Amino acid sequence: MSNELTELWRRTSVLTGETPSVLLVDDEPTVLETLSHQLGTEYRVVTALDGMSALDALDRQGPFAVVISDMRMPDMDGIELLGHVRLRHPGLTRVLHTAQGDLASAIAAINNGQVFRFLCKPCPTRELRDTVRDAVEQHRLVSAEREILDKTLRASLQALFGCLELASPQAFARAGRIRDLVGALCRELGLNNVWEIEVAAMASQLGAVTLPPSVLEKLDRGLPLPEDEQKMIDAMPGIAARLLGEVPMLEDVVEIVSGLRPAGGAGQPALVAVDKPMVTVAVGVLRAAIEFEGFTSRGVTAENAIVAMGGQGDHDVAALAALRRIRGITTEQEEARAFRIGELEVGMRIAEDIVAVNGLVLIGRGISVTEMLLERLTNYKHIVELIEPVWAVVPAPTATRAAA
Amino acid sequence: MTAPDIRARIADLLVDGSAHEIAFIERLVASFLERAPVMLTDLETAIAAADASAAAHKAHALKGAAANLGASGVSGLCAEAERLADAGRLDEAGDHPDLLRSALAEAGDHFAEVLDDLRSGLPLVPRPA
Repeated sequence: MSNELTELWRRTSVLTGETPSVLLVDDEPTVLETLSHQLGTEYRVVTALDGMSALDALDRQGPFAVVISDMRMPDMDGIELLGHVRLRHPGLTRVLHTAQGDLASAIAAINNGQVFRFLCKPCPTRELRDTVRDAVEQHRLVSAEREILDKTLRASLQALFGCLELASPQAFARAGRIRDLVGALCRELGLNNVWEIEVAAMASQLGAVTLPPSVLEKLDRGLPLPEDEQKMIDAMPGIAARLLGEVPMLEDVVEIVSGLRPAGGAGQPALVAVDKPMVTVAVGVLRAAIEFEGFTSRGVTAENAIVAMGGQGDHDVAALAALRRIRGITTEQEEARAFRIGELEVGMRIAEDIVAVNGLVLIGRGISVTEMLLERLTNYKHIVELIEPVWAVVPAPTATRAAA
Repeated sequence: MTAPDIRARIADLLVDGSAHEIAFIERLVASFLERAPVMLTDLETAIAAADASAAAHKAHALKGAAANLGASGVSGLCAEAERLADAGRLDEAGDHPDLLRSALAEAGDHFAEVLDDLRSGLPLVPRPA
C-alpha cells in the first residue's frame, strides 16, 4: 500500500450524508485493513498511513466524527497528531489505539491529546465497535451543544447590534461599513475566521453609544478631534471588550477588539496576543478598515487615503495592498444616484446619510436597502419630514435594467 | 501459545464467515506472511549495525503487524527487542532474529491450520488448545 490516503468503501455499505465518518491512522497497512473490516458497514472509513496525511484528510475529506490513531509512528506520533486534531477540529472525538501500554503514554494521551478512549492492540471487535459507537455519540452531543451555543451566540449578537442600531443609527451604519470592508479584505487576503473578524468589526463600534452626539458626528465625518474627545474614541474598544468579555466563544473577538486599543491609550497597553497569528492579522485588517473609513468619510479619495495610510508606516502592508485591489474594483462598478424615498428598491445601498429636516440621522450611509428598511422609512415619513432626494448606489444588474 | 491466540483473533475478526470474508482473512494473512520476513531482515540488519533507533522502529512495526493477527509469539519477541533497543541494550537482542524466525515459522503453520479449518467450514472457537 502506498503512503497515501485510502477510502475504504466496503461491501454492501449504504453510505449517506448522515453516515458518521471515522478516520483511522496507522503506519501498518494490515492494521488499517483489519480495523476497517472490524468496524463493519455502519461507518464511512478513511485511512491514513501517517500524521500529516491524517491532518490533510481531516481538512479535505471531512467532516469526521472520530479519529482513531496509532501511537508510535514515524515523523509524528499519535499524541502529537491528536494534539493537532484537538486544536484544529475540537469537536472530533479522539481515540488512541496503541500497543504502548505504559503509564507515560496514557498520561500524555490524556493531557496533550485529551483522548476520549485508549484502546490496546490488538483490539477485540466488540470493544472496538462499542468504543466507536460511544465516540460517535460523544461527537454528536458535542456538536449539538456547539450548534445550540452557536445559534444562541449569533442571535444574541444580532440583538446586541440591533440595540446599537436603535441607539445610534449613525454608529451602526459606520460599523456596517467597516464590517463590509473587513469582510472584503479578509476574502481578498484568503483569511479564515472571517465571521469572528466581522463580529470584531461591528463590536469595535459598540462603544459609540457612550459618545456625545457632537463627537459621534465628528467621528462619522472623519473630522479631527481634540485630545479629550480623541480619548473617548480610544476608549471604545475597551468598552466593547468589557461588554463581550464574559461571552463564551468570543475570546478571539475580544482579543481582536482589545488589540485596537492604542498602546498606552485609555490607561492600558494594547493587548494584541502575539502568540495568536490570526488575532494579529485581524487587528491589522480591522485597523486598516477603520482608518480607511475615517479618510473616506472626510471626503478623501480611496487612492489618496491608501497613500496617506501607507505614509503613516504603521499599517499592515498586506492589508493596504488588499485595500488597494478591492477599492480599485469597487469604485469602477459603483455609481450613486439621487432618488425619492418612494423610488428606493431592495438591494440598493444608501450612499449618504438619510436625515430628517431637524438634522437627526435616521439611516446611516452604507446600509443596504431591505424590505424592513423601506418599511421603516415609510413610517419615518409619517412622523418627520425627510430631506430628499436621497443618494443610493444601484447594484450593477439593477443599473443595467434601469438604463434599458 | 501462538495457536490459540491466532485462532481466537481470527475468530474474532469473522463477522459472517462468508466466502468474501474468508478471502479477506486469507489476503490479510498472506500479506503478513509475505512482509514479515522482510521486516525481520530489516530488524536483523539494524541490530547488526547497532542502530538502536532503527531497531526499535523495525521491531515495533513487526510487533504491530504480528499482534494484529494474534501472532503473539512473534509480537512478544518483537516487544522485547523494542524494549531493549529503547533502553540502549541492543547488544542483548542478538538472539532475537533467530528466535523470531522460528516463531514466524510456527505462526505460519498455525495460520495454515486455521485457514484450512475456515475453508472447510469448521468452527474456529471453541477448540482445544
